Amino acid sequence: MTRWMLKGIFRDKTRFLFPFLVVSVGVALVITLMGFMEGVFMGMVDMTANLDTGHLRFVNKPFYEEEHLFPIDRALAGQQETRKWLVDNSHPQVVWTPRIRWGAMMDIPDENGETKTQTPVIGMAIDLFSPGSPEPDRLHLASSIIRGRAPAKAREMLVGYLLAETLKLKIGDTVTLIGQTFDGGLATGNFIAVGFIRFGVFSMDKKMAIIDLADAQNTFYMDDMVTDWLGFLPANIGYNEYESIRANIEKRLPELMRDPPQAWAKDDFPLILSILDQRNIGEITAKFEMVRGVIVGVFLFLMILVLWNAGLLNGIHRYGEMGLRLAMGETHLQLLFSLLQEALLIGIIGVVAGCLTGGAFTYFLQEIGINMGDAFAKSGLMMNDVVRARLSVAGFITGIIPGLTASVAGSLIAGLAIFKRSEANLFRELES
Amino acid sequence: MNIKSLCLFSLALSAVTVVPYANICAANPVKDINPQQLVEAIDRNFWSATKYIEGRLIIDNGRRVRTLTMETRMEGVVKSYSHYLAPARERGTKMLKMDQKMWMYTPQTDRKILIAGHLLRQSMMGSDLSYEDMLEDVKLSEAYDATIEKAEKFGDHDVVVLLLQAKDKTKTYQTRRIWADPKRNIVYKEERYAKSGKLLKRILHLDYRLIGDRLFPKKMVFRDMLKENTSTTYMFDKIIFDVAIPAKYFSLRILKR
Repeated sequence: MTRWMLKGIFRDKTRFLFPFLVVSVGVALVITLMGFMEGVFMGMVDMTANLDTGHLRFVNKPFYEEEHLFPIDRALAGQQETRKWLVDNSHPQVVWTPRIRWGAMMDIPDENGETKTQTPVIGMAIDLFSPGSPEPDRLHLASSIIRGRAPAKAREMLVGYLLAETLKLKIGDTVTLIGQTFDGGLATGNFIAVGFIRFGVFSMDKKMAIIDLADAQNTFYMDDMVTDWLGFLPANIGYNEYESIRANIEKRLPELMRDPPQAWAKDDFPLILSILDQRNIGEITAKFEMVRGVIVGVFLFLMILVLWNAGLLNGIHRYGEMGLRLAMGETHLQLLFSLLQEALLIGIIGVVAGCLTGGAFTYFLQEIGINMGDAFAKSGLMMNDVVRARLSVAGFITGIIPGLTASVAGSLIAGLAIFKRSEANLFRELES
Repeated sequence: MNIKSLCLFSLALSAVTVVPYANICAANPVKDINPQQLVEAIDRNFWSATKYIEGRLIIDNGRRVRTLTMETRMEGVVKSYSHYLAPARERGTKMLKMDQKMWMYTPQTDRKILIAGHLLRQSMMGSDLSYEDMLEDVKLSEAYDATIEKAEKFGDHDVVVLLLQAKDKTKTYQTRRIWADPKRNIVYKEERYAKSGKLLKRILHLDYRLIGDRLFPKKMVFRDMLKENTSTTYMFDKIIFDVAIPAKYFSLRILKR
C-alpha cells in the first residue's frame, strides 16, 4: 500500500512538490537557526566557563561575596586536601582545576628603573607548567597569543594586548606587580612580559594578565592556597544537568564542614556553584530557551498554515477522486486516513531532505563560522569573535518534529472537508 | 547699725551674689577657651620641625595579627623616610615621601616604585593607615580652622570637642574632630572625615608620657571605619623631637643604599 501511495505521490507533482518544498525548507531553516543559536549560546557558555566560572565552581563564600575586590586573604588553604575531597565527592567526569584571581598595580620602569607608567590590573593565575595541564588548551593560549609566546618558566607573564598597547609594553619588558599578600602585607614581584594575548573580551584584553599558579602563590605568599576550584564537564553533558551535579556535591558539604582541612580558617565556608548561578547565565539561559521555543512554535504554526492551505488546494484538485472513492465504498475516515498517510510520507521525505540541507549548512557554519569582528569583544559579553553553529541531535529533533507535525496537521485540517461530502449527492455531482 | 555689723552684712551680701556668679562662670568653661590657641598648644606637644621615631605597627586585620618594626625620620609636614626592619618579608623595604609623591623600594624587586596621587590614600601594608597617614605630619593649627562644638567627659577627663575645618579644599580629611584636654593640651580621640562627611578614620591616643617638655602618647590605635574588625596600633617605642636629620635621608639615593 505504501509503495502504491509513493508511486501516486511521485507521479502527481501537484500533490507532492509544494508540500515537500515547504517541509524541507522549513526543517532546514529550523535546524540551521537552532544550530546557530545553540552554537552562539553554547559558545558564550563555554567561553565564560573556560575564562571565568568553570561549569562548576568551589569557592570560599567570603571571597565570592567580595570577589570584585580580590580579597585573597579569603582564599582557601589546604590545596591538596581540598582537591582530594572534590575528586572523591563529585561526578566522575568533573575535572577540577585550581586558579587564583588576583588584583594588583602593574608598574612599568623606564631605562633607569624608575616608574614610567602604572595601572591597576586584574590577573588570573593558572597551572601553566605542570605536565599534561589542560589549562593552556582550555584557554586556547596558543591561538590567542598575537605576539610573543606563552610563558615557559617562572616569572613570565602574558598581558592583554590592549593593556600592552596602553602601557606601551614591548616583548621582553620587565613589569613589577605591587599588591597585597594573603595576610595583608606588601607583595611585590618582577615579571617579564613574554607574550600579548587577545582574549576576545574587551574588559579582559584591556585589564588582564596571566601568570603561572606557582608564581602567584610565591608573590602573594599563598603557599598551598587558591581562590577558586573550577570544575569542567565534557561537552556531552548538557547545561541542564549542571544543577543536579552541583546539588549532589552540595549535599556532601556539611560532612566536609564537620571535618574540614586543617589549614582552613575557622570561618571558611565553601560554596559550590554552577555556571548558571553566576554572571546572569541562568537568566540568559531561561531567555534563550524561551526564545528558542517561540521560534520553533512560530515556524510550526506558519508551516501548518501553509500546508493547510496546500491541503485545501489539493482537496479541490482531487475533488473528483475523493467522490469516486466514496462512491466505491471507502468510508470518510478511511479516506482521511489515507490522506494523512500520504502527508506523513511527504513529510518524511521533506524532513530527510531538510535535515540533509540544514545539517550541511549548520556543519559549514560550525567549521567556518562567522567573524563578527570586534562587535562582541566591545560588548563586554564573553563571546568569541568568530561565532559558530553547533550541530546536535537536539537541533535535528527540533526540526523534525514540526516538519512531520505540520505536514500531517495541515492535511488533517484540510481533510476534514471530506466529512462535508454526502454520498447521496455523489452521482448528481458525477452527472454534473 | 555699727561698722562691725555693716562689714558683716557686706560680706554676707557679697557671698550671696559673687559665689553664684562664680558658679555661673565655672559652668561654661568653653567660653574661656580659644579653640585656635588650644590647637596651637596641642601642636606644641605633637609637632616638631623634625622627628626620629623607632616604632612598631601592630596590624590586626580581623583574622591575624602582624607586627612591623620600622624607623622613621620626618621633616616638616611632607618629608618622611621610613625603613622597615622586621619581619623578614618586609625587611629592607623603604619609603620616601616628598610633597605629594612617595617612592617605595623593595629588596624583592630592587626597584624604586612611585606611588602618587590617590594611591597615597590606599592602605599601607594592609594596615588601617594609608601611606598618607603614615608619612605626613600635619600641623593642625596651620592646616585647619578650629571651632568648639561642646564640652564633655572622656573617661575621667574633661575635654572639649573641637571641629577642625581644612583650609585647603584638596586635603584628604576635610574635617577632623578632636577630643582635646584643654589643661594638658593633648588629644584623647580623633575622628577624620571625608568631604562628604563620611567618617573615615578613628584614632585613640593612649598612654601619654613626658618626653622633654612635651606630652606624647606611647601608642595610637587607628581604625579604618570603612573596614570591619580591623585595627592598627602604632607603638612609639622611641621618639626624638627636633633632631638633626642629614639631607641624604630625603634624597632618592637613600632608597637603594
